[in-house]
Amino acid sequence: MRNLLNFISRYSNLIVFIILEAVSVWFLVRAEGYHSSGFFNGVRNVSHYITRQISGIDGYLALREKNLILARENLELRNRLESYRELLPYVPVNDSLSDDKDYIYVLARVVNNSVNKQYNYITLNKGKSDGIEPEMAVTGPDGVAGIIVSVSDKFSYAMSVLNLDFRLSVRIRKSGYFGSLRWDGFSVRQAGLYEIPYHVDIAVGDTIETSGYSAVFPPGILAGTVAEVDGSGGDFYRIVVNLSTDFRKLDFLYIVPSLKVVEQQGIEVI
Amino acid sequence: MDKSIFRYILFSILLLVIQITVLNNIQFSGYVNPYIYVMIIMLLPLGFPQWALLLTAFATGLVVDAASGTLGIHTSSTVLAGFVRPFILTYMAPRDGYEQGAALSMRIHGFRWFAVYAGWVILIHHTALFYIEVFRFAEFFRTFLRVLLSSGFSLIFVLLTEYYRKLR
Repeated sequence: MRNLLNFISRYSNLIVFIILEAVSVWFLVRAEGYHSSGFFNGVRNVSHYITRQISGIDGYLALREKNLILARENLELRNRLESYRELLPYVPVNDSLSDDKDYIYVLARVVNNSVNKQYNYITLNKGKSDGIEPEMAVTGPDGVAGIIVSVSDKFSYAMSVLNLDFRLSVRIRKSGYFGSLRWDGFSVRQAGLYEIPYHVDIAVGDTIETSGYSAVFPPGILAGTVAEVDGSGGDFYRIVVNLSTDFRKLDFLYIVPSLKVVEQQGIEVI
Repeated sequence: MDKSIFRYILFSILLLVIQITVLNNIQFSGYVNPYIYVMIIMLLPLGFPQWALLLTAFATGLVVDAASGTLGIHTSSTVLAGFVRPFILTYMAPRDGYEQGAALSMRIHGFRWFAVYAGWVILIHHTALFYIEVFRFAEFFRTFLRVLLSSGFSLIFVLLTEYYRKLR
């Protein structure tokens, strides 16, 4: 017994160190999956509160710029609406509109967002009570932004495109060839486009958009433009894409609940 | 003595606020993420008991983790920094030893000593932090470059802050 006490007093610092380090590694492992549990939700609420205060100030300072962006988007939508109005007499009108819709958009505000980590996430102020569920797409006025990974009652938590785990099925608008978009961890403005075979005709400046194959993202949403094409080596191009969304100034985003994702996945199960 | 404790606490809060509101939100080129809050661990006086230092490190890391939504990453690396601090101090002891209860400041030990001391603590803290964050050894050298560049920037920030404290 005395030996034990001696041992403890001699190595007390090491013991304290090991205990604290073990607790923080436990935090790491528990937080990794972002499952809900009382304690972690408590910590996350504190962090939401802090970042909400900061983003409040941030949002106020950037109002002028945000207004410009919204006005520009409004203008574009209005133009598009006008062009549809011409077609309206020729389009068969279906009364039960909601049956035919594939996607509906939910407006959400960015509460927290990071760009300087390897695994970046976006917190949005719409949650389960607004009908948000995991695996819904998140887009911004300029293009794709992320995908919802977990939801609480009032908030949702989205994996940003700037996350090493993020994969997106995209296609080249002009030729329709599809590949996979993923971030390489370097620049906030750029990502890599993979699996485009060597024979495809591609040039700098080509538009990259979502393919819609996953049923999470609607097809045709802008992802970026081709910045560099490297055809040397292998069967596939190495392509750098300039992302259309600037993740350093996200404010309002759209969550896109897909109405048919369950149905599509249901038939795709082998 | 009471006054210096009060000032230390105030200074720590200031460091945390700067870290959370400003430095966590800036991003130069994906390689440079300075973390200056580790200065809180660096500046605790020499006689401060080691177990209390580890607890302080744990609390500091937890606050930064909670504020940046990354549980465990900052906590584990700050506790590690707190654990190695006495070894660095022993290694860097002046020939006639430290004065009892002396502050570990630039004013007392000089610019060179403080720069080397801060450099070691920052380097160890940042190495742990960036490798835990990436959580893989693929692209080992890229992460290493991030560690070196970020440590350099953190060191500059810390030295400027400490130089300012010395002048006052």
